[in-house]
Amino acid sequence: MKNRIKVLRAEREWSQAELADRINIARQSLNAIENGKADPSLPLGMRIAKVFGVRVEDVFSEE
Amino acid sequence: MQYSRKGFWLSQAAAAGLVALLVAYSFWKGTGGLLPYFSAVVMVLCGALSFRALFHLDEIQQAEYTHIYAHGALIGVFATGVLIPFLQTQPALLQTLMDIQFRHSTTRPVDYFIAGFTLLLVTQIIGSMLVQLAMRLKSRA
Repeated sequence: MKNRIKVLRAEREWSQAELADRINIARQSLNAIENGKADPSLPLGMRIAKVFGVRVEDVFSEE
Repeated sequence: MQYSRKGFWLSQAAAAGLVALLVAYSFWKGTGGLLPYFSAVVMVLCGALSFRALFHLDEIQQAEYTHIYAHGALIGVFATGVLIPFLQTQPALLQTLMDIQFRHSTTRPVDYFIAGFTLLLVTQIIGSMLVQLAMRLKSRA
């Protein structure tokens, strides 16, 4: 699964640690999601989209 | 339970402390000299604290730890399956290991049972550590 977390984060000038705090996960876990090494569950995916203020499909897409 | 780094480390440190206490006590008394109820209570507390630590992780970490434990436990079961027949062919070595573990010469069946259980536990822990090491090396590659 592809994602635009890095781009969305850069647009808001948020660090990984800052975003990880906002969605309440470990920075290492966010790094794994961002680099496509781990896929989040739907609730976590929705939480990520919510903090960016976008739709889930604007963050995640199929390969 | 929500993700909490502090909660995870506190629970894990408490569980590790209890295991260290049990190991120190067993070295002092010899495994056969442990009070059975003491070991059981410590293991129940340890299990509860370990589960508490697991629930303080986020979902990605939980999946990773579950993967590590599941594969490590499988390695431990298969390693024990290889080690036990090997030790059956080496009675002198087995007796030496038994004497080291129990701090005195023993041939009691219950001591062999405890030693077998300890072997399974130790191989599972080593298996989990190997899986964790392999995952770290893979993520760096």
